[in-house]
Amino acid sequence: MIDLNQKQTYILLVVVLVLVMMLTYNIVHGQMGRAMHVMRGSQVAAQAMGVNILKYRLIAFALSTGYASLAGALYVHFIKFVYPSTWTLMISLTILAIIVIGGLRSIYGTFLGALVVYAMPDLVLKRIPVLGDINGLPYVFSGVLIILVILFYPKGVVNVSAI
Amino acid sequence: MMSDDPTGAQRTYAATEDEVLRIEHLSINFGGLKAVDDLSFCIKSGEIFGLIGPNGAGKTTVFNCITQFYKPNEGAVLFRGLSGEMENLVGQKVHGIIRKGLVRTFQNMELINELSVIDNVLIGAHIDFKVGGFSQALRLPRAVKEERAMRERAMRALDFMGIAELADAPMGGQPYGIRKKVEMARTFLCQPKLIILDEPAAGLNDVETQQLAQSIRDIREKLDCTILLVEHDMRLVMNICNRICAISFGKFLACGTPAEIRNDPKVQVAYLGEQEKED
Repeated sequence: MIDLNQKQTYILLVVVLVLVMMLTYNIVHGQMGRAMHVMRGSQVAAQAMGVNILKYRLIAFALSTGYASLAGALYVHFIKFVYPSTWTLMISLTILAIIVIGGLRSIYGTFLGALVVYAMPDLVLKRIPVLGDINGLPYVFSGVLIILVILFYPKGVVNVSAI
Repeated sequence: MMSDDPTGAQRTYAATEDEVLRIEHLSINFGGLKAVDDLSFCIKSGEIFGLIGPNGAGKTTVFNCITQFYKPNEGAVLFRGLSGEMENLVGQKVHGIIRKGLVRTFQNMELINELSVIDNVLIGAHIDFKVGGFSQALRLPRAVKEERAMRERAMRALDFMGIAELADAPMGGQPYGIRKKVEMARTFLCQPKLIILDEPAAGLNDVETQQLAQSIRDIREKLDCTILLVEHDMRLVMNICNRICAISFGKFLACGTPAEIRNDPKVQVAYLGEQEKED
């Protein structure tokens, strides 16, 4: 067994992330991804063109749970400790916030969204005097951000320049 | 010519060789409303066939029954598809219909704004992809090759419609005439036997309608397929259709050549109303 220290595990995480992003890019730009795009945009058109809605919904579901379980497994490797109360409803909501803020239907958007939602509070907000000491500030931050993004940049942070 | 078997399951359908689609005693109810009532007609191979009727006559409902978006309460939809055998489409899966060689368009087009024009066309080739999802995700050579071949096919389809230069433009924001052309290109990409067009000329101006008439004829020629269309533009219908079936309130009125339909008293009544008897 190879024993990775935390730094090495981090590198592993980055490598896996890039690989997964590449695989996802390929899927999105191939026949399967197109079928899912159509299914989202117009169910009747998808059916008329021969897309089996049930099959592709299941594929989408399986893919997303696959990503989540991969992430979970890697997380445990990184932290080397796990307990049930880590996985709260709050995490689900935060992940949803990441997707909305980053940009729906975008691979880079999700990456950017994660950066904004997780890194911003730790790296920037905590250093602001007075404001930084407020308990639960990260939640307020992502909450306000969701509202702003939905109102002004419905395509997400990744598409800000496109508007 | 109903047989002893009322369900029709065991029946062998007597159809002449040149028939592509045969609607037999089609009926569908929505609550108490009979949207289509005992409708029968047949379409011969290579025809451009028009289905006309006043607003609310049930034309689109007939289309939806043929393509199985609606399940008819009674009757049969017999289609001679790619297999060459006459089969009943009633009860088949909606997404399975295109594999039989039958494609449709929609009244309101149903294009995906977030995708590019060529991707919208490529949706039409969905069933022709043979390489599996894993190969696609890993971009194996065969997946790359297949995608490239399909893209070329889609480019040819766009070229055929005269909009090849728009291939990589986003679908959203394209004008109405272009959207119609994209949908048309998507429809014939899988080389179907029968194309069903739901009001192809709706919202087009005179010039565009003429172009459309020409491209419908071209598609029919080039693909050697049959076309069934619903249309309100009488000039277009009379101009391009070989035969026409007229319906009103879901009921069969008349079927025949454009000239026969134009002079049919029942059709005239349905469109123009009963002549008032004045003294």
